Amino acid sequence: MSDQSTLESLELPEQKDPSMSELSDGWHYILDSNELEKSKAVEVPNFATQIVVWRGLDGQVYALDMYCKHMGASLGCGKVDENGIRCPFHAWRWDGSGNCDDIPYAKRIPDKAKTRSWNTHEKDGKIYIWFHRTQQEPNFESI
Amino acid sequence: MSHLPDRFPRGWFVLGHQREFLDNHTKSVYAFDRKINVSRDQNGNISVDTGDSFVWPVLELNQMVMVWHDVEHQKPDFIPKKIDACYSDEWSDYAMASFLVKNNCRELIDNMADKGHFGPVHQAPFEGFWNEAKGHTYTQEMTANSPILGGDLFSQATYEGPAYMTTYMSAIQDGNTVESRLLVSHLPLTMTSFQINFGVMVKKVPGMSQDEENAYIKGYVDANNFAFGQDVSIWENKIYIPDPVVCDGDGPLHKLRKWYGQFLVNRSDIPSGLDMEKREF
Repeated sequence: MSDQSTLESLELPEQKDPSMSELSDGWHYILDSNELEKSKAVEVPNFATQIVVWRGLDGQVYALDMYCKHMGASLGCGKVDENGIRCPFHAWRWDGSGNCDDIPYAKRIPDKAKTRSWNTHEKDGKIYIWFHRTQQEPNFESI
Repeated sequence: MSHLPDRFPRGWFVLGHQREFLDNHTKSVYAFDRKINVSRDQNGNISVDTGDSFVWPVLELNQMVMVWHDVEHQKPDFIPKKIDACYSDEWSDYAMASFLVKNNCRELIDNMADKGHFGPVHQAPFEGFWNEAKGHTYTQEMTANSPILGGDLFSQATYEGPAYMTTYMSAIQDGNTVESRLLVSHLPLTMTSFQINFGVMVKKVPGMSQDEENAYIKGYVDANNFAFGQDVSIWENKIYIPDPVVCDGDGPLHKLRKWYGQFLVNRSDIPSGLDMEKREF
């Protein structure tokens, strides 16, 4: 049993609102390319919001909001499946653009099954993710 | 911290198995953000001291000591049904296990309608799945072939109020029909943590020795502890989605959450239309 005072101060996670973030607009270094081999997913808790970053079988790096839009589990605990990431809770698979593209137990994917995706870029062995408070398109010359 | 309920739900909550509360003893249990002293006098009567001027009703039923929690401080408006197996020599007593979950206790409830998680989380795809809501009760029936709990599995699980769930289960193991009863009860400790008090009893098999029966019950408790562990790892690393996008294969999650919501509001604010006829999903 945990200490009672620890439980009293225990806060539950939420998907942070990126517009409240103090992160500057632009590209942000996340991790080195060699830390993310194919089919590996990592949680990045300290970006503008919590995100999951993974490398698909195609070698591309993708990033989405970390918590699944279906029932809220962490996609960071999920498995990379081809180029998408599959949630550990109900096995919904999300592609890198934020669309759910497979639900093993459903006949049809709901139109609203979408989540937020983040632009990624790899250069000189480093992985960057774009953040812009007013959703300006990424500027690749600024890296 | 938005979206958290503004109170602990109204209903009966299991404080522990009756054998844990001895005559002429007081035992402290932490729940509902407070220390509750549970005393049994020399005549066997149980009472609780919660620090409130209102006396919380207590109940000793189906081998459990329960307390009625109600922010409106009114009398209970239901009593869980008596389970004959709890008083029968043909059945074992409940073997109990408990564990802590760091999340709000409402997370546990979703499982009743959450048809879609059995495969990915428990590797136990089901065959049939039914739900029914009626007044203060919510029932799930399921048929499955479980690699952990046995073939030709039938289970019927009923919540009576928000925190007291009992299950009747039968399965074929090694050619024999095995009947069991589970208890899944929980006690909120704080708004962001709760303790599951889980119980298993089995119908004794004629010819089975006490050692075999103990080993059998232990196996069942371990299997269920393992299954709960699978849930807990998800529960402790998730956010609450108040209005989830569901697909055609999901169970009636919205309906279930509305049913549960009746225990989180004053009685005068309970909406109508919470009942749901038994149907397959």
